[in-house]
Amino acid sequence: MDSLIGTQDSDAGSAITRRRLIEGAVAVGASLALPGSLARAAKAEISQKRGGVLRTGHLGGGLKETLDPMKYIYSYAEPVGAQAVYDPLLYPRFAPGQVDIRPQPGLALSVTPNRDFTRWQMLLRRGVTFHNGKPFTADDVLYSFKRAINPKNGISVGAAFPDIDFNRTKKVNSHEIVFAFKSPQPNFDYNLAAQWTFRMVPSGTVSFDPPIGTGAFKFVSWRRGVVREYERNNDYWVDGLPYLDGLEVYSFSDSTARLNAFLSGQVDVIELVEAAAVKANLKNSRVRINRSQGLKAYSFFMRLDTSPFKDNRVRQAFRLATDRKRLVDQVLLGYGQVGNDLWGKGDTDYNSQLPQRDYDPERAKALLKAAGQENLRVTLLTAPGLYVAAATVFAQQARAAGLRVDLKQVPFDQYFGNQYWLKVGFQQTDWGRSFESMAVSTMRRGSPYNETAWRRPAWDKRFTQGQAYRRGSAKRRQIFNPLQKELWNEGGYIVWGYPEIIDFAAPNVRGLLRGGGQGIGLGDLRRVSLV
Amino acid sequence: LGAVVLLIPAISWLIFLAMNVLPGDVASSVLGRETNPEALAAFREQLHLNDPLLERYLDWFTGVARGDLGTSMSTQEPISTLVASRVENTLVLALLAFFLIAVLSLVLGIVAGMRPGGAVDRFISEVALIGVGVPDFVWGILLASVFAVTFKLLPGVSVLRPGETPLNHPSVLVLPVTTLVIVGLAAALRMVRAGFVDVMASDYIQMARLSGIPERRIVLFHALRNALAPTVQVLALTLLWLVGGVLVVETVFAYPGIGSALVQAVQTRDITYVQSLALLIAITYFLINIVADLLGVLLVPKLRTAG
Repeated sequence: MDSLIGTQDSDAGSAITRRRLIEGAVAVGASLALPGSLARAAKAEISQKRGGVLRTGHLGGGLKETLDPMKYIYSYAEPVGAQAVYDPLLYPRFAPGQVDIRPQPGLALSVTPNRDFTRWQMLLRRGVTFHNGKPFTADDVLYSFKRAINPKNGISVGAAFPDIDFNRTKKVNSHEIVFAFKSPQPNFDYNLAAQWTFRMVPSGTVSFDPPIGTGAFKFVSWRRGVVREYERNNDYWVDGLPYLDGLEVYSFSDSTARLNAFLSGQVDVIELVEAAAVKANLKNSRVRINRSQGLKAYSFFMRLDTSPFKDNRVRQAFRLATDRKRLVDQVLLGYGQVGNDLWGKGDTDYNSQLPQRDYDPERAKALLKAAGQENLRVTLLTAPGLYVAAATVFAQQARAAGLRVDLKQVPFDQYFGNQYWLKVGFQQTDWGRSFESMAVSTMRRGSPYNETAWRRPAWDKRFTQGQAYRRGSAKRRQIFNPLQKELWNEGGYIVWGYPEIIDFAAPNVRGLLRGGGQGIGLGDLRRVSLV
Repeated sequence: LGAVVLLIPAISWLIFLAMNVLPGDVASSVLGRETNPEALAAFREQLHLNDPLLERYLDWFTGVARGDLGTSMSTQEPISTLVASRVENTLVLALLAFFLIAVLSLVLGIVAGMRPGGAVDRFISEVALIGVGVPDFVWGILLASVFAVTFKLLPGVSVLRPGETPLNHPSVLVLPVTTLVIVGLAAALRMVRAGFVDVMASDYIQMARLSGIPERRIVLFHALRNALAPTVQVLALTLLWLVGGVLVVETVFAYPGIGSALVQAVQTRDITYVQSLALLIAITYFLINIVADLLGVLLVPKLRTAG
């Protein structure tokens, strides 16, 4: 059974060891040219087979789907399309089942900081052209940044690049830019690699139908919410890539229909497969099951500004009334890891030194008694699918601590609408982010989604200090670890589980790697081949 | 007919009200959770979501009256271009299923009704009961898992490239049509049979029998025509059921028709799109009813004077 669930292919195994070797050396320098790894990649290319069209199946975004590479939200069909047509400045390192955002060159050859990280010099790849023949230059990069950052465009990836000072940012020549920042940005290169979904569009683009990029595949046609078709870009800037002749990207509105399409051989790959379908096909020899772990996690959360959660004894009781192991077993059918109430497990910034919090209903009961909240009855806001499954299991677990949890279920679009989200005391959420990214979005002053109503000026101040150090550095860890410990002790999140990200692939699909444990659209389709 | 002209605006108003009373907001649905207030406000403004209700209704309805179904709130494309190919696909699916149901229910209904209570009748009726007793989506999933997943004989879903229609790959039609026929046939067949049994028991058929006219001639020339009048009504009902039934079947087989469009539009809270689709479906209902009534009158001379 285990052999069927094996990671990716033989290449993948060597990728892991390679990663470990490099990690041992802690390569945090900002220079990105790695001729050695490029040579290895070139060697791997020869062993791959050229040709064929890969057909992928996704749960679609229906009418909401877009061709704009920066605006996708709803369907992993969209990032596949974005990735096919557009290239990022920097790639992360693709390794099976891991989060690794150490930067790799993309359209940018190198990104180098000055001493205090207020300026970054970026050298761009020469000789790259867009699909319409226009050469790729610094103007396209600046346009892409400005477009992403303008709040009116509603592009969420823009938030990953704060404090760019466009008045002092200079285009040195057609392929060199010096970015100036209003505050030190020690991790600009990491942010670029982490947000490699931030892709370069031609300067002045307002319409994305048809999408024009520099990517390995050219757009052919689409039917919104149904199918997209792409063909090989024969002038791609990496010789020999991509291996495939084309892509057909199908959106389904129903997961059973998608599974049937895969099992009957109408598509080659489906991604983010439900645990129940995985369990049912464990012994199916025509299915290669690829499992990986990402940053995505599920959580309950309590708002610190709402009774009875103002009292940390109550919050602590709720944390102890949660049996994370059983939640993972019952809701994720065991396909996942137990959470420890913190976000970003697997990322460098994650505080892995804290003990695993366990289920202890007796202590929870005692804490509730101490807080004068015996026989407490609360309402948990939930939504269809996995949320309500988790909520139901939790309600049972909490009973052992004398808690009564009523569920109130609303449809998903209302759940995150302005009537409920961030308004109700006890809710559920999920994110796939690092600690830093979560703090920026949901914890510090001015965060747009402060789910737990976490407002602590001293904590904010320390966080900003920590941000001024490079990722992976000891100083940053010295600051970020206690901040996470404070959240672990007093915060509002009960992060109970990190689900595995599972794909089904036909046996002839090779090289399906992706970063961050996300859908295959957030990976590297250039190196996929059919044998 | 006059009533219909009045009914359509009334229905359209009901549809519009229902859509606007329901909670949910297309702007937050399209822009998603990680948006910002500025983008939301701008988008609402662009969609005229801040205008008074009546004004928005009149805008939409006067457009529809001129044949302009409006613009989809989520894609910003004209709804008429969005639905054109889907209407075609649904028609292909529904009419094919309808044709098969009509022919099969007539033939089987008559065969069963000729000897009520006989072995053939009992067999047909009981098999039909199974068909109608299991819901359409269960049949759909069952057929897909047997013929597509296990034996890989037929495509389990309609996987079509851009620009292709189901007619390019007729095999994708087989399972959805079969599902519709299984469920639709059972009901139609039982009603056709009942109507035919009634006719066969009537006095003039007895008379014909006594006159020594051969049974085959009685069935084909005397009974059939009178049995057709209730049958037309039954088939009209079947067609009405199909309008709703395709919705479920299209979703199960990912068939690119009106049904799956409606599901997508509802999921997106795309109010104008849902309204226009619902109105199209309502008008189809009216038309089918009118045509069925007219046909009934044509077939049964008695009805021509009664009204």
